[in-house]
Amino acid sequence: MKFQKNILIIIPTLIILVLLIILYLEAPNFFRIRNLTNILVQSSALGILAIGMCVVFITGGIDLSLPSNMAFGAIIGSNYIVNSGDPIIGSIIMIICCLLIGCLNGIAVSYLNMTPFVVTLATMTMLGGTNVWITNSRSVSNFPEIFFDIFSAKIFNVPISILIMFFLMIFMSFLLNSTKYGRNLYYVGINSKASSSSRINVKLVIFLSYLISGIMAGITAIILTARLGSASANMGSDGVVLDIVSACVVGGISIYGGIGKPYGAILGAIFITLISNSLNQLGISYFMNLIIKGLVIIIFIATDNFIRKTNE
Amino acid sequence: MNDFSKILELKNITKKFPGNLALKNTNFKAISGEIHALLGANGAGKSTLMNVLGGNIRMDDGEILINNSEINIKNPRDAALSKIAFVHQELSILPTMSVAENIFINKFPKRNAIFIDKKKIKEESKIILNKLGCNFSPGSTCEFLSTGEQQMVEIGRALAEDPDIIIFDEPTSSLTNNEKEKLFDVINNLKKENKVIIYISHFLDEVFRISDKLSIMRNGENVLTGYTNEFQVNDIIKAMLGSVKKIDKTKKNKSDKKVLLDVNNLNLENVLKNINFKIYEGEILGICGLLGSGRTELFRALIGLDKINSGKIKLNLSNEFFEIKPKKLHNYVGYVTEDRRNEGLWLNMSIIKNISISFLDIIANALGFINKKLELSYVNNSISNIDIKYTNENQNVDTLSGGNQQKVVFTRWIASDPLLFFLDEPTRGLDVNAKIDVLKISTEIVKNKKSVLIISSEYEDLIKICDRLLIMKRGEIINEISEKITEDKILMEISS
Repeated sequence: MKFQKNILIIIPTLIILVLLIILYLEAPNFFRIRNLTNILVQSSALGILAIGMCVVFITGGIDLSLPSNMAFGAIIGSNYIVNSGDPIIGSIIMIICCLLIGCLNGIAVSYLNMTPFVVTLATMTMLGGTNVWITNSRSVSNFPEIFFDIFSAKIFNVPISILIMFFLMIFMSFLLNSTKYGRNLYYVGINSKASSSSRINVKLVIFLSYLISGIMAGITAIILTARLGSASANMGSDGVVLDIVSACVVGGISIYGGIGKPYGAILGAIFITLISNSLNQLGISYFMNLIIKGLVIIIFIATDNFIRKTNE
Repeated sequence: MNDFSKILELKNITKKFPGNLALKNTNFKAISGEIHALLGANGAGKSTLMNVLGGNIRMDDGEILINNSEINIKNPRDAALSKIAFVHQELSILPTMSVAENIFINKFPKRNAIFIDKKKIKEESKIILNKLGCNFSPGSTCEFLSTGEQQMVEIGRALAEDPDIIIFDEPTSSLTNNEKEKLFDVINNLKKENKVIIYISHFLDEVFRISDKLSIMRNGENVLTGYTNEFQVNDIIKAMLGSVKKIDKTKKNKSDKKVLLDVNNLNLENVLKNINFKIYEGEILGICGLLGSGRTELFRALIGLDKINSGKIKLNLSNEFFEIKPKKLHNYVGYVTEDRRNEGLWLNMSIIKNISISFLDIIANALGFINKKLELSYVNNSISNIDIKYTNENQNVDTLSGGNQQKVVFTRWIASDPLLFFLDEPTRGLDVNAKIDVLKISTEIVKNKKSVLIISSEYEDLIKICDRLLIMKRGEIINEISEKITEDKILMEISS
């Protein structure tokens, strides 16, 4: 029982170890501090999005619109910043935009009883179109320096995006582990029928999970815009969804609901970034990279299923 | 169609389930051209016997003979080959498929040995539907039909294989009066076609009206067989119960005469009709009825899990009556659901979390943070009053036995200190000791002026603990037994 639970953590750790050994022998550049920090910085955007997905996954739903929502917020907020020169209000606009989209997803899924997969697929497609339409496929750039001063700063030599990621991880772990709302997420995810006969407002719990995922998209929009120095429709390309889902699945978050922790999402995000990064270093092509990522997801879903079956 | 007489004989059928002998050398005989009713109290073995004949359950010992030659039934397919058809009580219609497809689901006629012959199934379905007196088209989708019409489709499916022997298991429980009359016509026509018809029912009036012969089962044995018109209602009930055993009341003190909950004219379309009743403080009120009589639906409607069409609920809160919405009433009710594993528990969560869900508000601060020390002490405190066998509070509940799981559910609701408990089949699937424990807990929780509303199909349990009984039938409360509750009274009320 204990072992079965841990296997989801053991497998990625083993894979990482093997990868690190190969890298040590083949591409020693990988171990430079700069590259390692770089991996964490790259993971931060993916990690925060994965935390959002994690919350939705726990209720048994899915939010495919996360990346396009993030790009949408980034584009609207960036336009404001470029026009007005005020990065603070602009950042708040990013979060509010993403929150509103999360709100729409939440209403559709919980109050209108629509299937999460279809609803968020539709939102994803609409936002993808909107993003290209607003920007004319060009990126929004020329931010005032102060924007980068804030969001690309380093504290004790650690980039702020890494700190934000870890802060959110700790904050969300608290929320999920130690608050009533967090408990309710798991209750609903594991058994929504029992939850409604135990006085839990199931619809509200599910609705709020999409709001949280919207907020995560908004926060990611800010740090990614600051890192890239521009906002564009490309930020939310379809491949990002795959990365988020992979990160969650690798991090032991069950797509069937009820199981998962925010630190799993972060570990998963680092794992996925690490694979991309190291395969790059080893000179393996981007397309091979995609194949390997796809395989990793399938392997993890298979083990997840296997563990569920043996538990029953 | 079939002029040859058939004689169906079941000889010395024995079936053992873990922990009980469901059929003991049971004999049963039915002949064609007669409607043979099969009666018995809950758990008497009539369904088991018919499921053996229908191939759903394999017997341990015994013979099945048709016209004196033994046949071997191992699965429903074998039964169909022996021309035995089973119309089940619970509908097994595929809602999104057409009537014709549903009728021929067991055996689609093929064109060129590959393609389903759609024209043929439509034409043949039409013939069958005509025979059943139905006027809907074979092409219509089943989910848009009424329950009665779906029942007819189900019967059509049985007739599609041109059976000689047809078993009807409680076919009228979800039908309106009109539909019932239609069904009786259909059954009488089948009788004229010289089929063997076995009719399982709890409703004695139907049995007297339609059947030629009847058999009564008790404790896995066929105790009485004869021509229906030779019996009186009383004879039948006596045979069903055997020697009436005395059942001692577990509950000692009487309830007050102070009303706690007053339900007026509750209506839910097609489910509940004009429900009126009161519960007194400290009372255990039983609800009795057959499957489909609206018992569970009443619970769900009262606490807002299903929306009601009309009705008033009044609750006595510290000596004042307030009208209360079902959703709000839920806050004062601890609901022990019928399906423990799927609706009552979070199986892969710890005992603590399964219990503390009912009082998270108390142990969480204004920001919603849960004080885990307080949680553990609350949980331990509530478990100490109830004897649950476990090794560790963090153990998942799926590692507990059924009885202990049920006690976890009780502990959860007792800990939340509700005014009312709704118990839906709380003893189902439990062993004898756990059953006694659960009944004891149920009588103890009413001590502090709480009330219990309990549904059970085990009349003995109801007699043991209830102060009053409400009898439900087709979504209505048809009667109340308030004094000297006995099994024959209950059976009489339910069956007539």
